[in-house]
Amino acid sequence: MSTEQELNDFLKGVERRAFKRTTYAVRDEDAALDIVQEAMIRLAEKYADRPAEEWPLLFQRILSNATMDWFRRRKTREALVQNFSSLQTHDEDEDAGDLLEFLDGADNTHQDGAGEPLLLRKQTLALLEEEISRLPERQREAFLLRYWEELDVNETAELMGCSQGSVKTHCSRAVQALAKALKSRGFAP
Amino acid sequence: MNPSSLSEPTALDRAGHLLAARLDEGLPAIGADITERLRFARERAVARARHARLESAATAASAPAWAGQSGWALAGPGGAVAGRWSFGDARSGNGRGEGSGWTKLVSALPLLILALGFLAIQDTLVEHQILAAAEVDAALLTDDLPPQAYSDPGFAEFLRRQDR
Repeated sequence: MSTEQELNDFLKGVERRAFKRTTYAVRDEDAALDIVQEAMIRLAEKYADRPAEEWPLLFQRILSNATMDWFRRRKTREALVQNFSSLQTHDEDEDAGDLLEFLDGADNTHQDGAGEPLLLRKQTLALLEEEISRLPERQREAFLLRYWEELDVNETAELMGCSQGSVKTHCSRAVQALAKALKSRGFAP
Repeated sequence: MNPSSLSEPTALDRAGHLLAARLDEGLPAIGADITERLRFARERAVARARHARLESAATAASAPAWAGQSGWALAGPGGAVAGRWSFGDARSGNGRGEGSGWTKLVSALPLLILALGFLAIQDTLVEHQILAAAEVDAALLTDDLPPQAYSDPGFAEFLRRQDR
């Protein structure tokens, strides 16, 4: 049985990312805090006795559900716009060139950001966060789970309730859209 | 530039991880107020977990231990009386059918009580209806006016005019 200290440590380790991830989705810090708190409490009440290794996936699922519940409750115009925008088609071939150029640009920059001015790094981050918020909901979720939470394709597909192929498609479109947006504004990754 | 190279997971994953790594830079910049509210939320969640554990432990301690299937016994380590009801050791298989019967009987008891309650209510209602009908009959029979008068059309018309 997992201890209280383990639960506390786990939540401490995921709370910041959970907050940011939720903020990208709902674009409201107060709402994001409420959702993260709700997810933490749901995990603590229902799954505290489960092995600690199961918590990361459980927490991501609970957080996704809590975010969806928030959207359902609020039913804002934003949510509808995001859903409709996810139906838009993309020109894969056109985006392919952007991604490869983006990666070429990345090779020319310092990976640790040491040589990059602080202001530029902050601007890049702000732009990236803005673009992530603009992504269609499923693409954003796939991108954040796959690359930020570092889940594998199978785990991401399981959490999102879709096929592995769909996860790859969502991730591909998200990365291409982000790379294209950064490149068009003259930023390196 | 070859677009087909995009299909290689490494190119996509590399770009994805590069972008995600940028996001990590924003984590330390989260404001103190947000951090404090996250800490509060975390502590609240941990307290809830503690409360849930205590509650389930208390429930397990106070409820009859329906652990076995072999009949009523005051069980404890080595067969000593533990101060609570328990259904002995299911593995022994002793009286398994009897224990199952007891469980079914106890489970059916609330339903039995409910059914008896409904029957009692129905009985009372029927009795009330009979008494009310008897009162009307008695009033009609003891009145100066014969009951046949109420079936007479002329008398009915007379009553209607009286009402007006």
